[in-house]
Amino acid sequence: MSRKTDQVVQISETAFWSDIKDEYIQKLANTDPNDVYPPINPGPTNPDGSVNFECHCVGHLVASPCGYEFREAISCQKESTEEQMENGACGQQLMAFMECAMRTQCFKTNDDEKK
Amino acid sequence: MLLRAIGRSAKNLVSVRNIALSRASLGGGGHHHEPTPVYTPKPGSLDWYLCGNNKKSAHEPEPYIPKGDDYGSFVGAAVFVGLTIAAVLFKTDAFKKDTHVHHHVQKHETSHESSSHAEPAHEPEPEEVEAVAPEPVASTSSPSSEPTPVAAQTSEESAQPSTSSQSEPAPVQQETPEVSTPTPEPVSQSSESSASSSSPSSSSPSTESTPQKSEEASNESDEKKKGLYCEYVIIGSGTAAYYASLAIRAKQAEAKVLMIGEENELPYNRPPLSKELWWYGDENSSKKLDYTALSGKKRDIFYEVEGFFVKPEDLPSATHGGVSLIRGSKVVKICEEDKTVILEDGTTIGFGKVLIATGTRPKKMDLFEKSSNEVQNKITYYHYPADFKKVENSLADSTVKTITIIGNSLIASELAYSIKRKYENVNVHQIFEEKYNASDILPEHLAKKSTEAIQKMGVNVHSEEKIGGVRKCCKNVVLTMKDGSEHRTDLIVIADGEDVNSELAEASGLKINSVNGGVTTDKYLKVSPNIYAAGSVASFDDSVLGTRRLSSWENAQISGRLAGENMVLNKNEKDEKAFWYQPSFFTKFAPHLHLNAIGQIDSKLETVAVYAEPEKDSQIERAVVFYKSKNGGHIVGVLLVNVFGPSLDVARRIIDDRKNIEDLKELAKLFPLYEAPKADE
Repeated sequence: MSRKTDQVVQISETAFWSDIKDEYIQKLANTDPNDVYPPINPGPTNPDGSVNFECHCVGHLVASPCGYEFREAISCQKESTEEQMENGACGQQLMAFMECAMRTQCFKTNDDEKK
Repeated sequence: MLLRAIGRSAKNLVSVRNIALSRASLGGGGHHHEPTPVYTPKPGSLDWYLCGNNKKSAHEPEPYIPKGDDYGSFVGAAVFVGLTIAAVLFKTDAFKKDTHVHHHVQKHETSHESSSHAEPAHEPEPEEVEAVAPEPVASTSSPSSEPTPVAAQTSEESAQPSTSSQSEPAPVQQETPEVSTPTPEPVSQSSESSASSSSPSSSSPSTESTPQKSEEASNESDEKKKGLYCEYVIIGSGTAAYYASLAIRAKQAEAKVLMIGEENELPYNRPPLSKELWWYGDENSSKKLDYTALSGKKRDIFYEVEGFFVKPEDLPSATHGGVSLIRGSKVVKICEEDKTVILEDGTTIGFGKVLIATGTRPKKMDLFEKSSNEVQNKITYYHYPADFKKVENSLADSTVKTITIIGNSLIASELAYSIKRKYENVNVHQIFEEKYNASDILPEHLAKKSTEAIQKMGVNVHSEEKIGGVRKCCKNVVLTMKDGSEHRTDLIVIADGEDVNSELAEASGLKINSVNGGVTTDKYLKVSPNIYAAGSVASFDDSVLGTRRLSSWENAQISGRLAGENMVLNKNEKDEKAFWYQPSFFTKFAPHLHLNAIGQIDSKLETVAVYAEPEKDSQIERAVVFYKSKNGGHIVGVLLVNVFGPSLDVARRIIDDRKNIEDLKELAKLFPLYEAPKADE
């Protein structure tokens, strides 16, 4: 076994922006940064347009003791139009969620900070 | 000539080099460990007798009776109006915002070696950062969401700017968690006696009287816990456990999850203990464990508040499930056949699926273990929030003017840096046997440079030193070096390696990996049909990099989620997902040295470091270090020095593709070593 080596090289700015010769590297360079590797977070919407509750963005909401109420409220909201919402659609679900959140005190509040 | 170059780069900017140009964020992550053979447990260590044919009986449901108090506080009309407003807010924002955010999210996580953390790209702190990528990212570690003026912080995603935090349910008066939590810290100073050191505390002096209380408390609840059954049981209450609970509840809406943790704290985010709490904390930080993120928002290290966790006795009757937490309780055995776990006090809890997420604990040093109690009072093995409190308090009140940190690990080095950064006038010493800081992960030239940088800021680094003895003298302790010299200090902080909390797995007859330590899992993080493991206790099969065990925060998050998902999928007999997303980690232990790394970051591998030319008027050096596999030479790890942008994803791609690339200077063009020229012509 040969002794391992730690090489150090420098690349000048000009060289850095010069053309890439390697095909594989060029292909990566052409890729949109968002597509270079799949995200681990699935995002908020399923392919069919419904809410994806596995989105990390709602992770702690669905896991909370009010997760069920949260799902109901959001699903309802997603299915309703702006107008229906204004006319009180989903009010019940939203209230149920709020009520649950207050009863269980399951979320951090800014009050914590003031204390 | 120059013009042409600029013109060309401007052109590239637009069409050609998407990757190198976008500097968005960065991440943090994982770290080393090689493949290893599996080993079978020694039969002697198993106490099978504990596993009887306990019948599990579901707890009797107790109907929920709302108490007056529950409602009283928000009956008023004003509150009602507030609610309505909140509801509208909620409606508008909850999802929309994160639509565009979520992409970012995963890139933000950073962490550092042992258990570190992190979400957002760590942005460089203001002072040093000017020159660096100016992205205002949130600070590294904590999960809590910034932008919400109101309540419900979405903690985990907090890193991201918007997330759903808008959903806060209204201005609720909230009790501080401590109030309702009897937090007994059962460990006393010289404890050792406690069977496993994973208990939090060897350092919290405040707890003297509590052990008793906790016993009483647990006796009381014993009866209730007997015969308890929970579909999903998680052993441990750290980052992996927490994220597993989220993933289970996300996959199965009404799942009931019971988390059993040995620590007395609510689940918390560990990386800030050696970073943000020092950098951005204030005089209350040692009490509240909070700090002001770069965004200006206060964050504490806890993922959730007390109210998030359903009381264990209420869980059986919780119609829509929830996550329960039993704190300060140790599981001593998993009985695979009868699907039960046994707690130290004899309580038996049945499960459908169980997750082992017991993590690691600081490695004890014989020399100090054998020393007198007086000496031991001056020693902190740095790992728990209580350790931060102890060290911070003693520095804040000036009882400690000279502090000595032992070890060259990332945690030790971060602490040396962080303490010096906050307490300029304190004498900070770091002692270790190796030649340089972080020499197990950094190639020698970089380790040397880092060591010089931390020395330059005022940390006294004593490398290649061996401690021969320790004794108490007057008000402080004296360390005797092997060469006979003496070193006097007020406090010793040890962060020199970790031990895996794998006793439970051993006692339960599960396979332990003899090289990495930890319990052996397959690529699905499954130990056996109903048992999973995640976080730093799991030695898992990574289809790209071989068998590994990682102690980074991001690994805890990723593997915790994956195990949680697979525990549910398993039940539905669908396909489980194999481990696929390489965790990264972030560390910083010298000014102008932001390190993010991913893959196999092991200084025993061959490396190639590609540096940008030093910039005028800037102390910031940018470089990308490639770690090459021992067999084949393809890239297995990438370390970024002051380089951000989508680089971690690019590195994930390269590692997955296992390409053998001759000219790594070419490959370095994918990483933003230089600012994109302005395309203003």
